Amino acid sequence: MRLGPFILRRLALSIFVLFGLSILIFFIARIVPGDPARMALGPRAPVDVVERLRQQMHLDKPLLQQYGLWLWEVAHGNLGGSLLTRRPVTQDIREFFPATLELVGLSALFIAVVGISLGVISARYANTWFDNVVRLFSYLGISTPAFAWAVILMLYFCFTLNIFPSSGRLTAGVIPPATITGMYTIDSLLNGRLDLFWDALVHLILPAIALALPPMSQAARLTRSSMADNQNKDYIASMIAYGVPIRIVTGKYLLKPSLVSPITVLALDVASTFGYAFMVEQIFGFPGLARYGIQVILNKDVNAIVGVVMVLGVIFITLNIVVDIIAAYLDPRIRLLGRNT
Amino acid sequence: MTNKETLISSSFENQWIRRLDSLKRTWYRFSKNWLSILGLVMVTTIVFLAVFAPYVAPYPQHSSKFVDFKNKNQPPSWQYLLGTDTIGRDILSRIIFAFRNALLMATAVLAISVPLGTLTGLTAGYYSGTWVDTVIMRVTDVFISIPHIILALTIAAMMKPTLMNSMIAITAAWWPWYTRMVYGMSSSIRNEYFVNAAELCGASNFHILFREILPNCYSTILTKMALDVGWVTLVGAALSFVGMGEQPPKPALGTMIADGVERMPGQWWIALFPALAIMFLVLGFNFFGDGIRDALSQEEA
Repeated sequence: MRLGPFILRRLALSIFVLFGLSILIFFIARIVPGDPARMALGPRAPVDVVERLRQQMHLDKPLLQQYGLWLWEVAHGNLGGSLLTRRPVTQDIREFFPATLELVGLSALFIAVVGISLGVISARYANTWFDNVVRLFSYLGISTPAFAWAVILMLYFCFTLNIFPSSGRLTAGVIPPATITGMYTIDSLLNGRLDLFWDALVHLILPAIALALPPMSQAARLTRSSMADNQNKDYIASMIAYGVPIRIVTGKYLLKPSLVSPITVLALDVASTFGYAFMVEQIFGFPGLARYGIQVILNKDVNAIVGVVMVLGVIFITLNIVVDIIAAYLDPRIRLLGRNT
Repeated sequence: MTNKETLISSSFENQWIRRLDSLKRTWYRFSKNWLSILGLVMVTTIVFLAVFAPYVAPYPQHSSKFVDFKNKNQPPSWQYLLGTDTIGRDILSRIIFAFRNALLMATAVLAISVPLGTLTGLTAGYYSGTWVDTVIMRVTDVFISIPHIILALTIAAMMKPTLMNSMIAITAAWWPWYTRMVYGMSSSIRNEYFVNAAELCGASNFHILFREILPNCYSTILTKMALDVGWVTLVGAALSFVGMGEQPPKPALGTMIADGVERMPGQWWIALFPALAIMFLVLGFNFFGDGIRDALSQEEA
């Protein structure tokens, strides 16, 4: 199988998963105890008003029909209205999401670049002091959740050393750059405002590191063990025997097959950072999806919760496709057999 | 005693001797790595603290409704080793009691997801290629497409915030991972000769699944369980951080951190020590789990 058909096959499979996910989320939304319409309007609303809202929300119809109607709306990009902000959920998401995406994007960069490089170097110099330090730190990194890292980093870098700001996306009083993508670092660059870019970046770095540390350690560990496994293969020995420079052997022939398994695991780890971003944003007072998400959770705003999870679900599935394609590119066996070994 | 009986009884004794022997060897391999021993010590400490919390905590009454405004916001001292929180409760005592809930949660979550995941994974793997495999694994795929932290958050968000409900939410997000792991092993073991032989002998499906395939999965499942105690605690703490799980005044590690963050940097100990407590617990179970993995995986080699 060439790469083209492989991608098509993978896409078809993920449409199925997306469909399944929509069923799962729909039913999760229906396990809420009590009547959503009653909850939205409060205990003192008159019965006929509640009844009208019930009809509006299609709550009076059979479950299967409710699902059908809901799916129809979702497919048209309508996630319903938020009961909390009284606005369409899509509008809320568009407003709060870029900040989170910026944060997660930067930490994904840390995870991929720093994590994998540390793993490669540590495998290259296996059982030296460097390797041991990386392994010890990766143990610590994995075992500490992002929000605990956030507390530790904040205490040290913001309050003890005083070199990073402890909250917000920009210094208080600074006017954000004109909105293009909603991500301050990119917007400020597009506007040619380097001072704003720096300000936004400084606010972003610490939360991004806190978020990245656990998956980064995981990446370093996986890359190291996968490299170490492949280092003992015959083809590497024969290349070294042929006199191919070690740098080329490591960088080209060893790295490629060794990256397949870490990368597939990393996709899910990066996806999980969206979950932990909730807590890290809360700690750093970073106004992203988390603040909205926590408000929404506390107020049991069903439409908004479902909307956020649905958007995240689409992102995860896309991420998985991208990663599978990268894996198929790296390892011909995957695209030839059509499955991940 | 007839010849046959001697044979049976001696082989029976031999079996026990062999088992004891293999246990000794496993322990030897486990104890070779000092990190595994450290993990064992940490895990034992945590379990001991959790089980005997009312007797070992310096101030057991601080684990629930208790107010002592005279001693609020005390920094760590000999009287309060890890300091006190905003209403004067001893943080060390609260951490010890929070360990109790964390272990209770991990036990409950694993007690349900491990059998469920193992059963579905075994079945799907043994019948791989049939519709049973397709149905089970596609459902699992859907659950796995979202990270368990998000799925657990979503489910917990829909229900009342109680310890019980957060356990349910985490369990719902946890079992598919066991299904997938066991499926991988089961679908490859089912092609081994000993399974074919059992099939040819006319062994029942039940026998093949539970007596032929399952025993080969024990060590991997056990390793994952040991590691998962830490991970379940971590996700549980994440849920309680956003206000789901054990409700105040009962202690939960996540809630303690969330409360403490508002008091930083002045009263740094309120947030820092619960954070370090989570680190200690997860690290302990990680060392321990990796030790078990090393000890058991060499057994097979």
